[in-house]
Amino acid sequence: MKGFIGEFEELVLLTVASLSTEAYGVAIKEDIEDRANRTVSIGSLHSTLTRLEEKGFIESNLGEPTNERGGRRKRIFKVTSTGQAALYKIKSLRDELWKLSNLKLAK
Amino acid sequence: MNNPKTIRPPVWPRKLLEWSCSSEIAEDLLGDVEEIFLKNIKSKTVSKAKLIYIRQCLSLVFSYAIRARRSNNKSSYSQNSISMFNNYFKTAYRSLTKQTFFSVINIAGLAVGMSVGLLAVAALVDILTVDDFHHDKDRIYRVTTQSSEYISGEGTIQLASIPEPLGYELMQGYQGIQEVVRFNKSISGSVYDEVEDLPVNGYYTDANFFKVFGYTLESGNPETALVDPFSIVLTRKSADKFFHGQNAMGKELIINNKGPYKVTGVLAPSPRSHLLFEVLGSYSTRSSEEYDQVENDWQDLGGSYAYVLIDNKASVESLKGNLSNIAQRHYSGENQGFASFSLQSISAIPMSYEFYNEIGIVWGWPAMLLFFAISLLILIPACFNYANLSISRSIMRSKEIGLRKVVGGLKQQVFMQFLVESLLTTCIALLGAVMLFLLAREEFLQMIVHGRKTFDFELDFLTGIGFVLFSVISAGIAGITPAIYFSRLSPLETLRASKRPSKLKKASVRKVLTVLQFSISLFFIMGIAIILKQYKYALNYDYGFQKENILDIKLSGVNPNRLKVELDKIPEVKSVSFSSHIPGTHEVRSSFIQLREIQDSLRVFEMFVDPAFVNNLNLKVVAGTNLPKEEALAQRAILVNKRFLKQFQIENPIDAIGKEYTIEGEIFVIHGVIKDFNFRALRETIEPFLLRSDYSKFGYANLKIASTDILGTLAKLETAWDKVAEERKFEASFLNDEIDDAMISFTNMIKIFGGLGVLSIVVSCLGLLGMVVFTVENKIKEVGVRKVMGASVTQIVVRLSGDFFKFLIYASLITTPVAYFFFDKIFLRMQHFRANIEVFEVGLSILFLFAIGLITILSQTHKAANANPADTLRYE
Repeated sequence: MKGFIGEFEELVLLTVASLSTEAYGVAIKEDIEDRANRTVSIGSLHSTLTRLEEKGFIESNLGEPTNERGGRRKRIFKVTSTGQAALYKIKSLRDELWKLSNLKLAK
Repeated sequence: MNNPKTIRPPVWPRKLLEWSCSSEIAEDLLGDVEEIFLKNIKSKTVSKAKLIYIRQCLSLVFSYAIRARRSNNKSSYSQNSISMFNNYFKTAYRSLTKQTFFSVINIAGLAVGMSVGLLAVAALVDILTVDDFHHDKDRIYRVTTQSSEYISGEGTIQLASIPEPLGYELMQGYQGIQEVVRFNKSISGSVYDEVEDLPVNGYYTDANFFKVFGYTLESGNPETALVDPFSIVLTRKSADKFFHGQNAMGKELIINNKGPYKVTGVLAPSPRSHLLFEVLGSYSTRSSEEYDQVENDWQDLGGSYAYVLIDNKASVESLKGNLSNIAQRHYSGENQGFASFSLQSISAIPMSYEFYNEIGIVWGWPAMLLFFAISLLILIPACFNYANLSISRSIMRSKEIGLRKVVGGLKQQVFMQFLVESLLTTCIALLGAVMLFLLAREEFLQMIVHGRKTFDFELDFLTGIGFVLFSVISAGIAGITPAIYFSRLSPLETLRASKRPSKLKKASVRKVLTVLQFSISLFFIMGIAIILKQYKYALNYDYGFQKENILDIKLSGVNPNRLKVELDKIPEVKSVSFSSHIPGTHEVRSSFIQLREIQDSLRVFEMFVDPAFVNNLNLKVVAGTNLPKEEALAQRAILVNKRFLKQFQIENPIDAIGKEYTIEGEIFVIHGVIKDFNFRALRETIEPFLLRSDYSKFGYANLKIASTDILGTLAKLETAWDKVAEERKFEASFLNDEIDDAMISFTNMIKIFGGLGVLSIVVSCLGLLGMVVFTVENKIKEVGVRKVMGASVTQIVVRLSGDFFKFLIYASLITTPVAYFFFDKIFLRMQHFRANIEVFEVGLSILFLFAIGLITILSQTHKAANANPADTLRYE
């Protein structure tokens, strides 16, 4: 099963989910940069998005043209049900491991 | 602060992005980068924003996202383009078969045009693969010399050779050098075997020769073959030459009266190299004998060479530093700056041209460039023809193009269609050109000296690739003009009822091209006429000595006096003399001569003859006497020519008699002065020259023959020869034949110009034929109407041919001055004694061009003029 998700992929996937209808390239990039405090190049972001799409975790379609970017349309990404399942699976795996470990959540 | 509306991001990253995948599929990505840019402009400086924009675009260009989108998109796109290409080929094939006549003209023309180019390509490939068989090719370097004083008046020159002690110095061990292989040319000379003297050339070289260079031994041990003094390694060919197919190993050879050399190895046949040798002698031979003399002679830069195998490329620089240290050390005091040394990679040698004293054969890129220029001179007209004919058929094709465009054909697609068509034509033409190439290559190889050593002209893989590339380029040159022309046609104009596309009317370019073609042809025709005249002139030239009925017999070491006794017995032999060389040919030696009182020495040419020579060849003695008959006296006597007197500023020939000169340390007295005669070939000037006598130097017997039965006399001579010469070969030829043979450059030149002339005439006549046929076909109705109205055949022929006739006239007007200038001022300067170009040759060449051109034109126009108007006008 090609369900393996990398760290950055997980980050992107969750961001797409959190942005819902506003999930397009620049928005995702800025959201990740703000939250995770790291710089992301648009090239690597789109590469990851393309990979996720190929794995079937997200789907995309072109939005309406707007004035602000030279009349070019945005590509809006949406998490599919497969994507949700994959995210859920990761989360439950993590939760399980957190429970088993003796780590105390740092305050 | 900044107004975001007015500031635009740089254009090229966007272009790059669009180029890497089409703008439709990257629309959102382009939008993203632009949005980032617009945001950055508000918060950052403009230059920083631009920098980020560029970085983001580049990150996209190389990203997986673009690659994935491109490959997704390609599946549909490429299928489409394959079927499109199928279609191109189909239409190209159809148009080729539909118009067979024009296709044949095009293909034949291109085949002829490309054939010379193929020779050039094959030569280039061969030159680039010379010396490819040394395993450490990239680590082998040659030591070269730069000297400003070696040849005075030449400025700083580059020499491939080095002073001999430098080779020894390098062998002392320098950092970075693995091996040093020295070469010395002094082994070259002649091998004396029982039958004849055989010329030989080769090198003395070090024992590690086989370690550095890729030569292999057929027999013998490469480790030890060149270790001992007087060891020699032969090539397969020279082993056959000297030992007539017997096993050469262990046999002995005498070279230049030195030796015997013992054969310690025979080389396996080797690939092509810039090294040129028949024998390799061990360098230890040279060291043991002559080294003392040359040990400190850093002034002599001739004849010695050194190649080094270095550790790695990095050591080149440090080695150069070492070399300049050596130069500084040895050229001090008054010799300061006499020479410096450098390194040249072995792979750079075949294309270099600037070196004096080359070790073997080197062609250099100027020669290649000239070769390619000449082949372009033939190729370009053939490509013109193709373009010409394609465009002139545009009336037929333009409807097709119009329709293609109307149903949605893009400009690029029409462009591609015509390029594919020309590609198909050149591919077929390539087959024909390869046939011509195969026919011409033998002839060509024979014409160039040592041609076979550098060139094999094999149709191997690399050459094949070269040929295909060359034909693709030819297709491009031929097809680009029609492709541009047709892709620009407006469908509206082409589909309007039977109207000619307007661009065709101003077809002045085509006329210029046709005129140019004929100019080139005329140039070659004139070349042939002029060289033929030179040749005839040279054949009939009065050399100043008798060259008829003189038979030269090669002595091959036979005692001259014994031979003379036998020859004198034959009644047909009127007189016998001896000489060291054959006058009027290229081989005459020179030495330095010094007037006894003056220290300055002067180079003069000389020949060794016996006293009978002067009368035998009818040389005129102007003052003094002939060489004395007594051998003891004759050895101290010289005869000089008048040019010699001029050099030493002696006004009256009588005054020269009795003057004493020093040659090679011995004193000689002038006994007589002879009239100037051409002792060398006609291309050379007459230089100071002297005759002296030395029986040991004689190479030929000169016999004056008076006989009606030459074959019978030759048989008698051979019998006489066999009596004194034991097993040696009888080699005789008439003096005037020898002199004619020395003019081989003429015959070669005639062949080259003849070949090129034929090719270029064929190409231009094919082009002309095509144009005439086309014009005539288009005017067939006009001709019909004119005939009906009462025009005569002559009037119509004149009317149809007039334009083309003008082309010929323009061509002759253009070429005559250019060709005259070229041949008179440049080409013939190479020949010192020459005939001048006269109106006759020029007129004859023009006449020839007109004859060929008119035959081509009239064959078609005459046919059209004689056609029955009832047939041609039937459909009206």
